[in-house]
Amino acid sequence: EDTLRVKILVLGDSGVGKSSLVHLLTNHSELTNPAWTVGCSLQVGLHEYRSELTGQAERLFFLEFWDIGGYPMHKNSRGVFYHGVHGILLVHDLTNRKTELNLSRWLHESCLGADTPPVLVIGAKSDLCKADALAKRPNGGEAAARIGCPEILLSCVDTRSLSAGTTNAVKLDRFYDQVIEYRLRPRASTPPRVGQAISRPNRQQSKLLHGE
Amino acid sequence: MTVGSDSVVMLASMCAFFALGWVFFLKHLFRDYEVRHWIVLVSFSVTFALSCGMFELIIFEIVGLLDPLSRRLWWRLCIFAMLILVMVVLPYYTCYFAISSASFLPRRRSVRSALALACWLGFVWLFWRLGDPFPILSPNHGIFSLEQCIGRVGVIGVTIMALLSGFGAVNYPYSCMHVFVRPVTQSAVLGIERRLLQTLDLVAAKRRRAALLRRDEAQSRQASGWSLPWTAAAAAARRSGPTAASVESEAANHEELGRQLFLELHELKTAQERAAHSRTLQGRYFNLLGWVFCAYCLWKLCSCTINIVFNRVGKVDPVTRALHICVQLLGFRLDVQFWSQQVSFWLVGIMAVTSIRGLLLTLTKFFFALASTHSSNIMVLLLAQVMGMYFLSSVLLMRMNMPAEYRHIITQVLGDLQFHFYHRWFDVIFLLSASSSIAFIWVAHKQTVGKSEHESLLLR
Repeated sequence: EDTLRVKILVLGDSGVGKSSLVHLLTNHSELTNPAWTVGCSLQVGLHEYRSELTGQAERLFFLEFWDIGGYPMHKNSRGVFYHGVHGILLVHDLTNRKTELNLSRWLHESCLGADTPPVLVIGAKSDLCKADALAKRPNGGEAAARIGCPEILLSCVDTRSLSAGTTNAVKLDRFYDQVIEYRLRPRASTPPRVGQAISRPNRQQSKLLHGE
Repeated sequence: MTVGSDSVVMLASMCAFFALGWVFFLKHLFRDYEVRHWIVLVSFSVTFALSCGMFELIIFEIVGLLDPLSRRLWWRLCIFAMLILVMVVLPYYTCYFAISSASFLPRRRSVRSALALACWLGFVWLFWRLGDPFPILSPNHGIFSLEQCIGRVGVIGVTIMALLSGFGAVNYPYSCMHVFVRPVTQSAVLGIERRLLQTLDLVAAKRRRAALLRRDEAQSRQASGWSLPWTAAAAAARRSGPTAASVESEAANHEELGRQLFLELHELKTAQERAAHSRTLQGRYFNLLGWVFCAYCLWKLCSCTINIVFNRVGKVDPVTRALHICVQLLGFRLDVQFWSQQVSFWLVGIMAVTSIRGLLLTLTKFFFALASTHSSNIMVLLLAQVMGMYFLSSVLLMRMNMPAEYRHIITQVLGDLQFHFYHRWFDVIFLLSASSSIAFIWVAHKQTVGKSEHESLLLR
């Protein structure tokens, strides 16, 4: 089968709803019995990509979501998952502001190498949040602004948040396309070594990468 | 000094302790959560302030600061406030938050409050029955007196103290001493990482297959136009090969293996960090402390056993005994009164500070390990309750370590309790806790040593 794989990390504090989100993205249904994620849980979704530049036919890509458990005490063993990443989903809980403030720490922990893959920030549990709090952040909250990437607000128990045609679905598809383009891009430099100095991604670099 | 100015001093120090508890809660304990109910923050800070206030009053007693009358007044105030917190406020709010988090109960405020009140009454009944088998009831006390409440709180607090001390006395040398450090080779760590990534690759391959099968099944369902389950199953049976569900279950099995490998990797990395830490200067210092603590633990175990076997109740506190040895046996000329005061001050001060710091560290460790978004409020309230009972009982037990002239304020304030019973109870529980900790850690150590030997054999 002529299909290619991309690796997308799903990061965030413990209990924000990463496993429910990944289940929603891959199975398009609600996760009925969420359990605490220990280590890494791998789920696979499909995405059809048509390159606008080359005009080739649509190709089917496998999106591998690496849902990494957010326990602070497992921090020393998580490094093994952070190699060969093509995209990062940062998830925070809209009812708990501390989880949003921790997102830059997660990004810093997982970026090994000079350039950052495409990033998307997702605010989960929007059904538990008051409507006026949601209205205050139409263009993304603090974390998304600081990192320089778009943000989606959704509820992982509501399958309609990502139905075709909504703004959320459009942003998500654009993110998938960026991830696939990052994967297909020819790599001139050598692959990053483990233990290299971690550079903090800056806004200009991210904006250029995302073509904004 | 009049009662008025003394009260100002005490009030100022209480406010300082309250602010300290507040900052500790917000910046350290609750740093990953949002404070949504202020009562949790306030009750934790008040419990902490009252505990520190009690230790402060003991120090003032020794040093002779403040008027004796105002000291007695503030003692009674502290004890009374602490009892109200530990027996009324904290249990009621724990029940209230536990009921609020249960989703199958109605959401109305009044219903929740009524249920919480019922639970609290049940707690009070249980609390009262707890004290019956113990010799707390003295003939000259009434049924609902202060001594009854303190006696019961004291039993629970002393049990918690002995359990934590027993486990800590065994665990601290084990975690510090270099004799128990397991050497971990980098090749072992890399081996486990490789196996983990291979397992995840296998999971990914199976899930990719399952995703394609799901898409095919969905397309064939749409194409045939039927959405009946038995038609889809018949179509799948005709099409030879596995279904998405069977491949998915195989992937789940491999994922379980991946979880075990991840936990093993975590253990190895922690052991590696510990080995690296033991080579630093700080590590060597902790190793020395570990040996000292090991000796102290053995001595404490022996003295507890002797106390229980020979039913010995220490009448003389260590301060007076040490001074007695110095003056009469070694022949130093000392002003016993002055030195007794100095040594008691430093001893009680150091014990108070280490006890507060030790308990806060242990509570923080428990909280970080067990709390989640839903249970954070309940966990903090339970920890505040444990803290209140712990400090009340440590005041009770500290009476043993002070010379007779400073003891009587505690005796007066806490009432006429059977103090030697509490010391005996502490010895029994300490012995049980320490011996079961030794057994548990011995078994765990043997298991990990066996596993590392097995792995090094595999690698060769």
